[in-house]
Amino acid sequence: MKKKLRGQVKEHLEQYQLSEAQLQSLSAMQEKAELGQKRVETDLSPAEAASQEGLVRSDEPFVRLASIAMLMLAVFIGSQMFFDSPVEGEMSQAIAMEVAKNHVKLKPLEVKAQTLGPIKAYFTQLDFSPVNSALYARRDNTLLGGRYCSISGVTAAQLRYRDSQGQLQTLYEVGYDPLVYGPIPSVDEGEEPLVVMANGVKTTIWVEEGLLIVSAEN
Amino acid sequence: MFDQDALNRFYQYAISLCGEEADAYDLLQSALEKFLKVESSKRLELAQPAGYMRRIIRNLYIDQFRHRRKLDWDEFDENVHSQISDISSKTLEQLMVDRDQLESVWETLNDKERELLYLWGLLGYSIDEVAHELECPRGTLLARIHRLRKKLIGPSSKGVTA
Repeated sequence: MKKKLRGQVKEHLEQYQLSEAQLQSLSAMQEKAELGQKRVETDLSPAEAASQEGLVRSDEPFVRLASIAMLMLAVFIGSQMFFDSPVEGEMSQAIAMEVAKNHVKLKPLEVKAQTLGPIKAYFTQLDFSPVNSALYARRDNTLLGGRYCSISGVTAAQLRYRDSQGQLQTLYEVGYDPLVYGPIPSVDEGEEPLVVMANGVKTTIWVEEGLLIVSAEN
Repeated sequence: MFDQDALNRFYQYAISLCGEEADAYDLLQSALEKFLKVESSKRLELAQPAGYMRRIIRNLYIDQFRHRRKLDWDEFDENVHSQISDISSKTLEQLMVDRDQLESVWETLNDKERELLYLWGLLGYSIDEVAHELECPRGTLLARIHRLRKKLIGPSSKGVTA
């Protein structure tokens, strides 16, 4: 019987299902990873961790009690993580916090230059090429140099500038992946950057030329 | 954590790329392993975990599997370029096929065509959404749709453009 192609494709692909054993194996991989993460987060002792993984005989009364307690703790932490998972605003707040911490530290520059050319040549380990942000260029600051850094574990470029009052400002650039960072306003599409205060540092967050850019100033 | 439905969707995606169930499961397993490693190392929660997982599946497929097979490039087809203005997502929407017809044509499709059908047919994406997900120019996708249509409606379609 003829049907619309979309429905027929759906039916065709849905006939492929993982077997019970395959599903169990994949679920176990996820549970193991989740357990490992919780162990790090809750800083469990080796015995407690072992009891969660079933490595200690569960017929020992103390271990059984400890297991129940840890399970309750894990459920509590899990529910907290669920309700506290970063949404759009929290994502930008987390980025701002990380950038503010880096800004305050002012680690030594790895390359010194007053133009972007030599800095671009220095950053050979990046998946992108640092850009002269048109938005940031309006501030008319003087470029001092740069160093490698990271934003949420992704390697980024940190550029340092001096403003007209002699204050140091830092600009962070990293490849923008909406799947990692969530939606961030794009100035190329006429959107206004986000301004987030973190640890007394004013951070401005936007996307430009496919890069996530964050400026930090005191 | 991905539930069973999500895992099956990823498996079906992997099958669309590999064309074989055993390879698809290996691909899914490797991708999940990589995803879990990335997820645990990130300090921020991923905004779209399913999309990110599909990207890992796709990248791993390109790295590990595609070289084993004949590479399927989007060959330049001068006829397509002259007809491209007549092609749209409706070209696929309007097609009526029966199950046997699809099953036999499916074997002849390349990985990119099957991937397009997965995103459009199973996930219900529009052509623009497919272009966005695959980071592929719309024109290239339209050319792919044109070739797909030719395969689906058979040799009698010669000269048919929309």
